[in-house]
Amino acid sequence: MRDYPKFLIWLYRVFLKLYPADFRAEFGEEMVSVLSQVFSEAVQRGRGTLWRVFKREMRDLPVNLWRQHWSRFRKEGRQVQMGNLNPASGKTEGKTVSVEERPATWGETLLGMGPFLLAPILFITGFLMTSLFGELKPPPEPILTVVSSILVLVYVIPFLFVLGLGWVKGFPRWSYPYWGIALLFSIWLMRAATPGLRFFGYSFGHDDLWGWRAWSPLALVVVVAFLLSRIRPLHLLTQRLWQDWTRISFAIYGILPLAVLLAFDEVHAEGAYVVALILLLALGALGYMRSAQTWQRILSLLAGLVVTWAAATIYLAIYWHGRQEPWMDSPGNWVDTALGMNKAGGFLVLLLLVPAFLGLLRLLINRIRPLRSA
Amino acid sequence: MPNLVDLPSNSPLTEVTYYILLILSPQPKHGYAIMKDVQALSSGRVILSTGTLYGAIKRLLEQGWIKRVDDEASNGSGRVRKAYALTQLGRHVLEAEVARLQRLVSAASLRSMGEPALYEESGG
Repeated sequence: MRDYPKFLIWLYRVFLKLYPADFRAEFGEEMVSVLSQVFSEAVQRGRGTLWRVFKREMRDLPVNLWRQHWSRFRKEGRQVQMGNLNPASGKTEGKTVSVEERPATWGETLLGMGPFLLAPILFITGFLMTSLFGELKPPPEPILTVVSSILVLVYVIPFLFVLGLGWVKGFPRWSYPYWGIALLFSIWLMRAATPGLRFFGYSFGHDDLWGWRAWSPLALVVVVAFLLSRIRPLHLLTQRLWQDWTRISFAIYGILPLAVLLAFDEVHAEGAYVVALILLLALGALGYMRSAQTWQRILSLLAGLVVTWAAATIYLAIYWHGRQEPWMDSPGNWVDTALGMNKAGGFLVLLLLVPAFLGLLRLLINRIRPLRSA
Repeated sequence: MPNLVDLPSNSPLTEVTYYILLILSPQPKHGYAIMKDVQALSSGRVILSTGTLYGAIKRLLEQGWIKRVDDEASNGSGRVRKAYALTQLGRHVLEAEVARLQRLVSAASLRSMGEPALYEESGG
């Protein structure tokens, strides 16, 4: 009987860990102290009273946890909008430094690098699949079904989940390349045909383009995320884009793995090199996520693009020089290949810098209408 | 210090908020005393769990309706224990709420004076 309160207090301390860290730090010990006093009193009245008190604590726990986490989530949103928030006064104080101006944590950085690590992983999977089933021509139907199901489960569903998570979390910086790649992929898929592919009992015909159906996964994510989080993330999206235009550049940067793949279309035995190039892009994303200043962020993206594209240009110039495929009128030469790649690279650099106009607009408006001090 | 403009003159307080402000109005109190007083004042109808109590305290601190004070006297060990006191803003909020409730009760009293006639008519 005497040990019950001790055990229940220990259990209470365990549940206390579920509260947000700042709430725990501010009130945790006080809550334990108050509960100990309540238990001391209850134990005089018998075990039944003690359990009733503990049951009341447990009954209220889910609602209280939800309230504190929701309050924390809302406060983070306000911090993005207003700068540092003093919890005691509810006002901004001192130097207005947005939480978004800090470098990302390593977890966020890894998430931001996700789309660039995904392509190499897909290549490795493809290589393994070819090695395993390449000899079987054509591969038997059950194997194809199993392989495609694994690909969907392992890559597509997590990708869509992370996409939705980014929306629900109010479009943090790491989420932008996912949207870039998802939008471009959907546009590309609209004009693509996948003859023979079976999906929920539907079999795609030879000239059966995906059309509007290409947007279904994205639409599903948007609907679910919207139902879960309503309008607030969209509000945060506009605020954050206004605050940091490089996010749009990062979304555009997210399409670069596809651009690299397109550049290497019709190139044979290029797998390892493409993987290396996309990993170079991942380094640019790493630099972006770990930077705190706008100039550092855009420089990281530009460096990632320029270095990757230069390496791609060198490889392709060498590859195509003197080579002629059946669909070519004449053998390729390195000068034409390099020029073509430079044009495409220049276009991508410009595309990456276009969002800077948003930053210039913000600067202009802030000069015309200076921001009120907090 | 929160602005007095933030005073929610027309919005009713939740029962828990009302009781906490009411209990802190005469003097500062610590968490356990607030919890016991809420139970006593509500005749055992409102029994707070620690999570609910400190969730409300956190919100009231953020709103600037209460403030934290050290309560050395209330602890025999000499260890400083945290107590909570009503701020000027909190007192305004409480007074506004009491006035609102009084208006409601007055309205109910006026209405109840006319009630017997209605009953007589319907009953007759």
